[in-house]
Amino acid sequence: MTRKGPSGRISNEIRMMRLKHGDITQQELASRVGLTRQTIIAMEQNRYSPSLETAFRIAEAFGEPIEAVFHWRKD
Amino acid sequence: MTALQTRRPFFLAGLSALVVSPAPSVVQYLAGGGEDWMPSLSLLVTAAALTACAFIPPRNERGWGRGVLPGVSPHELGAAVTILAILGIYGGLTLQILQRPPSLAVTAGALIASGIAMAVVTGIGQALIVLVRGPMARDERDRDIARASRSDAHIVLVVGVWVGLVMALIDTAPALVAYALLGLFLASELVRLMSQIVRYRLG
Repeated sequence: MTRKGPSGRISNEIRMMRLKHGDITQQELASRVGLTRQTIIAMEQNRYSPSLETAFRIAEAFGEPIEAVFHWRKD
Repeated sequence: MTALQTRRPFFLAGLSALVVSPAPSVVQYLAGGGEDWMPSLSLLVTAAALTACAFIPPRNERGWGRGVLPGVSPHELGAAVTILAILGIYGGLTLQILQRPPSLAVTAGALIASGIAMAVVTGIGQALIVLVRGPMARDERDRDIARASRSDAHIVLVVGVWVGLVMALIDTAPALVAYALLGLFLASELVRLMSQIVRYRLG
């Protein structure tokens, strides 16, 4: 369920952010933002792009602006 | 506290399932007047498995289970269990009907028996998944995938309605219309479950 637009793709830096912010586990991050661990795994593998609200919640969990965690690349 | 004490509901459910597992065969036997019947072997095996679960220690007292297939959603496992149950139970019934078309009464009994078997087998399968993997939490990805796969299955259901309508209009035997509708309903369920698994795997 990657939200692929007509000419773009969303990617993320969740794995890097987890390591940067004290090696947070996938389960810990999932609990903080109200997701399951499987969804965090899918996002890290770019198999799932979250909703805008969830993207903001993940960025907030890391204390980073959303553009530092999620990127949109034009094809 | 022993595993059996903490798993008492599983133990009781397993024993109850063992006791009622011959029910589908009895229903089919009575409906068919002893003409034909389907053994309840699959039910007996799953009921025995449920009883055996009573002896599995709780998650916090064992070192396995938590890390089993961490990237695989329990909903995905549930879909796989249901696909296997549909193929095993209704696949067997379809083969039986194709090889030697039974009377309408036997078919009706077989359908009721298959329905009971499906409910018990999938119920036990889901219980086993929860037992090993923990509760099935649902988040936005699960809801997105469920919605998209329901939409895929909807197409098959629409085709089913048209096929049923055309068969009724050309005076097809009621039993054949019933088989076709049941087949298309099961096909739509298979499409929904397979679409779910593909979407979980490929994104």
